[in-house]
Amino acid sequence: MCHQTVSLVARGLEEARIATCLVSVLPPLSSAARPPRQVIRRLNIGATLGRPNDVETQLDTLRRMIALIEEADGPGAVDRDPKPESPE
Amino acid sequence: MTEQAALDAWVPKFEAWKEEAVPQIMSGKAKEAFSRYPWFSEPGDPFKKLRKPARQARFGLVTTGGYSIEGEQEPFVPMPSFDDKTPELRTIPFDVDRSKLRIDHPGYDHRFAEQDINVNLPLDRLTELVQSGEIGTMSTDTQVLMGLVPNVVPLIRETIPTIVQRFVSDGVEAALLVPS
Repeated sequence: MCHQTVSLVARGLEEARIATCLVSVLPPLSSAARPPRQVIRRLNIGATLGRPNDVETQLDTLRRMIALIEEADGPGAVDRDPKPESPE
Repeated sequence: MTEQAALDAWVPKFEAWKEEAVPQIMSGKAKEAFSRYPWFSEPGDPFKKLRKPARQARFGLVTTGGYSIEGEQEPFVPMPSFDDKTPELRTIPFDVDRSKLRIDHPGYDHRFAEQDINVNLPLDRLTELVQSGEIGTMSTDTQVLMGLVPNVVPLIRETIPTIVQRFVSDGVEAALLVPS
């Protein structure tokens, strides 16, 4: 439910000419509301930026969100974590 | 289709869902109830290009983690908002005493955030990004919701315009949004 809420807030801010990016760990739910930009990560509900005290991952998520704000040229921009490699 | 038309088309679906879902949620079957929730989609694709580097821009932060400040702010009502009541906001300053932060959101496991608020309220990480020059400045006040908002009508009509007004008046040019 939070993913729909932030997606709708993002759309409202963009209409007011404020660029936005959200992080999503449930892409079907965030994408349904068509946010302008989202970084899709394989992380957990309740720790959507990275695990506790994992400063590196938290900063990486925020830097990717900031980069997408700087670089995206149109709505629907996505930066998605790659799928984990399946074992041979 | 306009936003109003999209809301008009969505409300009957929401009301039908609510009639069945509320008793289910009250009896502990929230997952089953929300599996049939009519997700809202509105027309158009708003997009604002940030026409300056992030290191020169003023940023704002929105989180749906349901944080409030113990002893200073009323807690959020820890229930999904099914009615027409406006979803509430709390304003958390960047220099808040971390020990006074309380989580009122019932919809996620608090164990991660109780160890480190930066998992969904990245006050320390964003302070570091300002200090390193990667972003220009941060709005001093974070806008916090309790993100369990099934009824999007008052969210869209009341709460989102309030967030917009606060950010616009503070000169915010870009915003980071964190669900929980």
